Amino acid sequence: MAELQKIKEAIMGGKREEVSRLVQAALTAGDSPVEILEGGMIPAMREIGDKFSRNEVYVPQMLIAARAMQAGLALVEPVLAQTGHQPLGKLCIGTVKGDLHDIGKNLVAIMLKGAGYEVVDLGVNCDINKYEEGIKQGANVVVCSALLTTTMPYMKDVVEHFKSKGVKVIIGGAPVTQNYADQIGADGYSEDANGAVKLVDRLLGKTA
Amino acid sequence: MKLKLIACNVFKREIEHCLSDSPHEIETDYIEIAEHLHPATLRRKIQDIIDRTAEVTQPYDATLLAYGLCGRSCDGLTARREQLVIPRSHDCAGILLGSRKRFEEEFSAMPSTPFSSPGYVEHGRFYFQSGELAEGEDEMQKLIQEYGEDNAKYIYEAMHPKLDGELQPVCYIDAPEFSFPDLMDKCRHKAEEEGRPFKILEGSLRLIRMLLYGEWPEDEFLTVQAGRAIAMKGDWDRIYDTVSANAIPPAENRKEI
Repeated sequence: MAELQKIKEAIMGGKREEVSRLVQAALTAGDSPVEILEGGMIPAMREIGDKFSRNEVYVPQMLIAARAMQAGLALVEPVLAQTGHQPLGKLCIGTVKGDLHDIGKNLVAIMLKGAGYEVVDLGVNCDINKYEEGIKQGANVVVCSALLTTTMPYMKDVVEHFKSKGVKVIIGGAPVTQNYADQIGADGYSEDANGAVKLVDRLLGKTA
Repeated sequence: MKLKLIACNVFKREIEHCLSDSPHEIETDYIEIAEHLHPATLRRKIQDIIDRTAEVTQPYDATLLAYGLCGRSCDGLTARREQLVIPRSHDCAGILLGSRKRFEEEFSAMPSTPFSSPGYVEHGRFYFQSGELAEGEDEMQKLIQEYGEDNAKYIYEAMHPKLDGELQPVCYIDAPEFSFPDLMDKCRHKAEEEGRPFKILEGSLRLIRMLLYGEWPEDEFLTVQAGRAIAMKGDWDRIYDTVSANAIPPAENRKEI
């Protein structure tokens, strides 16, 4: 559908107001929110994420695309809820203690929301108590992000804390590796936002 | 000893200052500042020099790295013919402060705190803020031109994160024996312009001297023998270990955000 293509392009170009206008128009015309998400919005973020991995776009373009995606999500989510659409699961996400970087974390949160998960965003500088707040709000997976090799070691504390509580902890961020995830006993690792969605799907048994 | 030094340009002044006192013959290759923003690229650049060094007829006694882990840039570097020696430091702040202990004292409470040194200011980057560098004076103007005013403001704010609504201070590392008041003032001015507190931390050339003088105690330097590679440990204390070079996965080429 031409409108979906326009939505996709507007998101990739970081055109927030245009995304709002197009998504609102599509919803008003009676288009299915799931179709708008799956046919326009999510492919936009996937494609720009892939371009980012190939060094074809940079952090500023990713940031404004994510912001435009967020503007679209803000319109789609209430309609989804009204139509009785149930979230696939509930997660909490936050950047670890001592780390104020939220660009990667926000991208993962947006992709998870787009994929149908309810996401409690705990922000940055999260200590274990903050992650516990997310669990109290009903999340059963903790998604941990770190940008620095100095803040990454706190992930080990988070993993150890939740190990005995039946809460799964998955990790990611620039310095994080699969090897490190294995070393600290995390339940999963993803190197990018697209992979994070697949990881959560697998972890919560949502794959076909 | 005959030594090869591969160094980040951020240390150029300090290294040149200390080199004349080193009892060793040292050849230096500098790599441009800010390459840590692309760790896979920096890793390749350093490895290329290590590899080329191993091919010259007359062997060196060691290849020295004036680098820290630097966002995993040095994770996976492999020693060829020459042993590698690298300070146990997460980044240049630890090296500029002179010890890991001082780094922990200053940065363990909030590792995201931006820091600076003469080298940063001299290269027009002002300070290092974890993933990003403060660009020149016209940073905001460039963003507006490229992305429009609304998006530019958003990008700028996202790249200058706040804690509880406040920007982090800039910590300028100044070694009293080798101080550059004009560069420090430029950094202070930049911090004031952005509305950040400005803090001076006492630096030391101790670790740079130890590296250049061949004093490499095991608790402060990692020595990597030929055929072994540097492997990130994921802690605050040791920072790296060595592993067999065969255990290093193929070079990654992803970007960091």
